[in-house]
Amino acid sequence: MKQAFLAGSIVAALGLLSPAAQAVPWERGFVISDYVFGFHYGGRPDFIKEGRIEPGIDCPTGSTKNFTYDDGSFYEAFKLQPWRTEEEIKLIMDPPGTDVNNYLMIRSWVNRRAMGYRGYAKGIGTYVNPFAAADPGQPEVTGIISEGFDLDNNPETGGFTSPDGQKGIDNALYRAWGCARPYRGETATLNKRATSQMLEGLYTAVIRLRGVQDPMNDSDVTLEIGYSPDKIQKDVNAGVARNYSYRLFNGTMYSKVKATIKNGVVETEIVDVLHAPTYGWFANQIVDGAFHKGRIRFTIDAKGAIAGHIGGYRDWRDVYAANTFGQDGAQQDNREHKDSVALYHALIRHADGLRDPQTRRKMGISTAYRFSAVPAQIVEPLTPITVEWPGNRQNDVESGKIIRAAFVKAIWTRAIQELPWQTGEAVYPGLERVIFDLPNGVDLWKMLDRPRNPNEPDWYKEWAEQKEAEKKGIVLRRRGFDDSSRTATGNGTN
Amino acid sequence: MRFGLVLALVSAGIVANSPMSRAASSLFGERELIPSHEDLVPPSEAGQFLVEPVGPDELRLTVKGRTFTSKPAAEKYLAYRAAEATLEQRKTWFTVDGPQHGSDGVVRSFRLENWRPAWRYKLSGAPEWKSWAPGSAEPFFADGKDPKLITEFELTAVIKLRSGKPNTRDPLAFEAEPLAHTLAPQVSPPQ
Repeated sequence: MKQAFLAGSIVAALGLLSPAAQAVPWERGFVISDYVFGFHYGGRPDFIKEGRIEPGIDCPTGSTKNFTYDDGSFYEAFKLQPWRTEEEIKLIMDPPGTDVNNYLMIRSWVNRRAMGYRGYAKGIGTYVNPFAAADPGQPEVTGIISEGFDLDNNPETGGFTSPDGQKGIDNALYRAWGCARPYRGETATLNKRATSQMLEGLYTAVIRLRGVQDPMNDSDVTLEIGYSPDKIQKDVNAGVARNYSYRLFNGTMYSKVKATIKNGVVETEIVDVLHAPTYGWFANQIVDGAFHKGRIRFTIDAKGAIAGHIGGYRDWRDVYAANTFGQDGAQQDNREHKDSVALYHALIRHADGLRDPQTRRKMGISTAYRFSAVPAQIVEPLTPITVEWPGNRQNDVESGKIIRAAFVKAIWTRAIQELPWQTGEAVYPGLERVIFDLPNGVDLWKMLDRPRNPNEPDWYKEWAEQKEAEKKGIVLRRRGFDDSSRTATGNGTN
Repeated sequence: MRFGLVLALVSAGIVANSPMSRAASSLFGERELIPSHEDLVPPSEAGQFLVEPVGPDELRLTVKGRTFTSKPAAEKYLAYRAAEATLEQRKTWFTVDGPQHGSDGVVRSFRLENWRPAWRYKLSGAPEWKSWAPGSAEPFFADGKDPKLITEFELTAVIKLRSGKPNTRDPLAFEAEPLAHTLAPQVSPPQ
């Protein structure tokens, strides 16, 4: 017995017993430097067709562009409200008073108020009750190539082939939203904005790998992904600096899963729900992605950086809420030239997972998010940490929760919900501050009227007092987003 | 083909209620505005791309260039032309001969790691053609060289055209349409 033990010890010491005996624990960390929807771009910047924005094999008619003056899309959007007259639409699009100071800004407020109330009847908030607005239509991706995963393990479904040839890719969110300009191609404005905000410190996401064999080939790897409260460190070229230390928060937005690595390709197991940060440009958008049938796959390059995808079925209500209520829906649609009503109906059309057992409605949509990351040191926090938002962005987070709750209730009950007054979604009182500057401001304001907060003041009276005071050189403190009539400052503060 | 797909989707109501469906009513008049994957790829010069039948449903494809940029760029362009040639012959997929890589059990339309054309090239100051074949013991001829030293190059592949449903378990099979759609936005003929 003693001899057998001795012999065994010698064999083990020589590393001859089993592969496990040769194991050398290793660890690699990464900080995400780019994180967007995994939408495959099928155009090319050097290909142009007149009247189309970068048409391609993904979107033959090019990127969609809503709410612009030059192509009549504003008019088309307002024409869908049966209760609006042609005269009203004309007044909304071109209110009289072009010589008034800040005319374009005032016109933008007028547009946004009208955009914010596009229901089947006057006074219905568009973005919290999108089902109550007529579907303006959203061209879908007609291409057959997509990034992502075969989530249902069926090469005959999904309708997409991956850029490396895999059949059966499920990425219905791409099908639904892939032609929307803010998310498509190199000029995708919201992708750029999200990356910019991440690099400026809005949020940080990190990945840690731990294995026991070889960092490029290992059958027994643990992968962690999550949020870090430490701001991204940039290098002299404004890229993400390598090898800085980041703490990993293992609370919300955190997962620990098994993975394998083959020739530098890391692939995790499939888990029921993969918790990980999503991307965004406001704090209220950075939430747990809760990827159902979730998984991650990425490749490690020669310099140690990684690039790949995280995917799964996401609750489309979360997807809609994050991409609509970053700021108020009208402000975001107006600036980014998208129409969240069209995107909402596209989500419904393309939902392909998470069937609710009671209603039989599909509440999930297959997705893939593309990311890249650079090497970093991922460390354990020495003291308890949590999710931290810079500045007053905690207000945005609270505001986002309130609006999302109203939206979810609206689409679940099909009962029209009032817009939460304590958020920016009601698009007031910005308009009320400026509209009376227009020559027919009072009439226009009445035409744009919407349900009132019972605590609202007499806006015209306040405006008139302000004007009177200005004549005397006095600046009054006016009611606004920062006064006590609101508990949250509105969605989106930058 | 792409135009047909758009029309089919429109008629099936898949893009109903969309500006695309509104445009569909006048699609016949706007056909030139709907790009196909052929439209995306810049045209090649005369004589730059050659197709020769070498047997029943078997083609030899050759691409020539004078300015070498990279191995993947040239090989992807030839792969794109192979897919195009297959579709032009009203076939759906093609196969190549050679060693198999990437049998990972995943159902794939194509495996570009198995697209391995043969090369000929001339170097500056040397008038004779030299050859490089995939699988040879020699490293790729351009590795470590100044690209300007390569004055001419050709790459060639032989493909066997196939009809019907592709054999997606065959690592040497290439489904033409997804291959063309994948490569069209990224390839250009070599100069």
